[in-house]
Amino acid sequence: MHSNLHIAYAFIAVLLGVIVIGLTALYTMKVRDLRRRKAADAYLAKHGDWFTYVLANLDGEEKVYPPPGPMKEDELRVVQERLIGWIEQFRGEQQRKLIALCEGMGLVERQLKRLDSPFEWVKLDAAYYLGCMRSHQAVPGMMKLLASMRFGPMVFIVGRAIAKCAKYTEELRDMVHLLLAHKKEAQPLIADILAESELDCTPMLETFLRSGDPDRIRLSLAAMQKRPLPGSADRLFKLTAADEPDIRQEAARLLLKDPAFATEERVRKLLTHHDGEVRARAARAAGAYGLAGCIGLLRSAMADPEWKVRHNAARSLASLGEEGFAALCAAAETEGGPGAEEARDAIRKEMKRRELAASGREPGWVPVREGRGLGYEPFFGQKELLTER
Amino acid sequence: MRELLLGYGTFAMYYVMAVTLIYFTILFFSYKGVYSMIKGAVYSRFRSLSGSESAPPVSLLVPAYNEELTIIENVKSLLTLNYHTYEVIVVNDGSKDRTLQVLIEAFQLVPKEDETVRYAIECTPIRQVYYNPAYPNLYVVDKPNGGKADSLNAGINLSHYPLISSIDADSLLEKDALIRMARVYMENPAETVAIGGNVRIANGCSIRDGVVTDVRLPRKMWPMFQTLEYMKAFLGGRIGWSHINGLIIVSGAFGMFRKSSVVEVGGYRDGYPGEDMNIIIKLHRHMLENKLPYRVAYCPDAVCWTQAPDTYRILSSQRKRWGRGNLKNMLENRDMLLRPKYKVFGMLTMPYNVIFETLNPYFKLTGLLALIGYVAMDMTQWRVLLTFALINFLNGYVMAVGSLVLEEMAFRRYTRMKDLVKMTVFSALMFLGYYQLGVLWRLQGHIEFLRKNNSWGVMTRQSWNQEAPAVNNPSTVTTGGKIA
Repeated sequence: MHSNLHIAYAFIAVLLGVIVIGLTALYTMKVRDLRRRKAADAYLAKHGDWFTYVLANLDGEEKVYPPPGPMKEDELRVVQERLIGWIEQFRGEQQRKLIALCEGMGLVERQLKRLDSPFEWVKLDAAYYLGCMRSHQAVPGMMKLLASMRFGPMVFIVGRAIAKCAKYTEELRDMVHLLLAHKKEAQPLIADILAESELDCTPMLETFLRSGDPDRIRLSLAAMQKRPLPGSADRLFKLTAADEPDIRQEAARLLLKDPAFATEERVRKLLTHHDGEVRARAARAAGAYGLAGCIGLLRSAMADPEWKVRHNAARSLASLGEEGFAALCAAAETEGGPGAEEARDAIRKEMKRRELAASGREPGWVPVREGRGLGYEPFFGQKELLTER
Repeated sequence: MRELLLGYGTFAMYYVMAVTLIYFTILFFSYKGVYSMIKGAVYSRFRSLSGSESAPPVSLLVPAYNEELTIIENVKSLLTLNYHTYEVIVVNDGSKDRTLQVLIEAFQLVPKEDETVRYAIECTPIRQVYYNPAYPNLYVVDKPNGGKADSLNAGINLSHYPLISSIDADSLLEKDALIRMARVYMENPAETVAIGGNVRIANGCSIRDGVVTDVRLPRKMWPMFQTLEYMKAFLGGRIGWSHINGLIIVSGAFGMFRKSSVVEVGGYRDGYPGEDMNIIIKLHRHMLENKLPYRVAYCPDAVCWTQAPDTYRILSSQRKRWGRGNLKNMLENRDMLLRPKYKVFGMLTMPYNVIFETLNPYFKLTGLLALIGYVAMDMTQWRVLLTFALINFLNGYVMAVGSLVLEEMAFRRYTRMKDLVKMTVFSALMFLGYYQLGVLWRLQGHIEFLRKNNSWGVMTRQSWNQEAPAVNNPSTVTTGGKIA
């Protein structure tokens, strides 16, 4: 018992020691943080006039000069933070002037030295700031850093920094290869990173789109979310036949998003695609772009095993004028099971929409209603349709 | 009897050693994981990312039951998040108050006739979907009462986007919370099935137009204890568990999920509390059984502010509900326990939860009885008892200090020195009754479970606008429901 108690006392002493160390660290951090905040406020106040001078001269032709006199380490950090914030906010000439100012103040050189530090966290910090200051000199060092890193959130920070600093497409290409090598399907994020670059990535993305590598194709498709690549319609159409479901579906989505790309011929082909998701998108596009030539295929799609295809086909038929509506009514009567149900539902909704439009005296509908009836009478009769079947 | 008590004493000693070791290991992983999490967040420019079309579209699901006091402000706040494409789906779960009416009136909603709901997962049929084109991101679903899980399932069925995010109707999201979570998802979309957000207590804070503008500690005792408890759980625990992909829960107050994965596991389990833990367990099970690479991530800088119960009655009711939910989940998934097939989750997370969470009250209770036995049978001395009690306290306090250090290192939300002093003092005070009450509530929860009581329990809401300044101030300033 005696020895056990001694072990317990020793354990208590260890725990007390850990607590004392923890509390000391905690309060030290708090005191330092409070001091740092106070000092930052003081430095910002001290350089207030200079900050105003910088902002006032960002548009002029004159060079912007650093603040007068030497600065302490903390002071320089506070000023740097403010300038970095502005660099990220501004674009064009104003941004270039701010970057030149940072170079003039030795901030770039300082961070370049930190990039050679033996400690990874210092390198990462430096890479972030160098990226903000668009230092092309830092690209080889950052590329080396990126190649040496294990996968984690920080690889994207370095990747973004490289994208900001790159002056040649090859540098972007190398960065992309390093990020894609982690195989995490982070293409949307990489596309966002590429958008930070001042370089025109279009040729590189076109090459990727034409490559046989699914990862690079995915990246091009993700980048096309923002801006379609010119002349890519044929390639996108080919990609709708890709083995990878996500690629063919995304290709179909991008193709059908653009009315210039979504020709009747392509939509007709996609309506008979083996992938239900692609068929569903094509069915929707046929209605959205008023492709009356697709009515026959849409009518067939009402018997599709995929509910989404039937659903979109029904909505599209309803929107394709009287011919489409008649096909929808025919589907409601002749299709069995879910197809007919979907058609009836679409008819009900379309009728309601037309009723509302008519009550609002919208042009376009009233003559149809008055002159030719509602269009479904030959199939059902007026009352039957408006009640649930 | 003496042998039995001695044997128990030895067992209890190993139990305490094991729990301490695991706590410290998890805290160590939290420290290991927090660096890249925080640096990743600090260096990311959320302003540009939030406007980026590359960010995946998200459906925010807001189950609402009798939330008429807070729902309008919360929905308004949700409609102004910094995010490119998202929708807010409020599910009125058959509220008995005017939740639906206030929503219809405030947003001038009308029934949406052309909305088709695909019932991909089971839920109570939806009565009506309301919409106003002037608020294109807002959908309000009205359905009969079916519980929180049922409401979430209804929201999933209506949702139009590939990611879903569950948010409690009494919580406020920080403007960047969604984009911060999306960033974590975008880094590894192939494997990420769920991401947990950080839930913080809003009691005591100043709130202006649905935004927490001044972070302060709660003035009342119960929310203060919960603030520290949440800090310990979310920072000291969940960062570490997520680091080893062993996270068992993503808080129901704020989490993000890949919709296809949630649909694959059949959505949220209905009819019992603890649905937030249950969905994560189901996701772990599904991915591990199908040998799919996955991760349940945690994003501590995506913050959701919530109102903590500030009375004993409501707090005890909440904790009993949690106790029931935990027990139900552990019993339902006992087959995963210590099965190598379930990797870290089966070999570490589940045993930890069963032994140190579910069975914790029984160890505590038997420990107390054993102590009485030692004293009654003259097997111990006051010095031994005191030593044991001191070790127990110091162990817990090390963990509390560890969480406070993490908070100070990474987040620094409470900026004043007196806040830190208050937190360190209350971290010690928690051992004088609060933790013991926690054990009692959990035990009561288990008793309720055995009695087949699966109600939600008592829960009242305070308006964020309560006692708002009346004049010369167009916006509302509140302090966790009180005037700032």
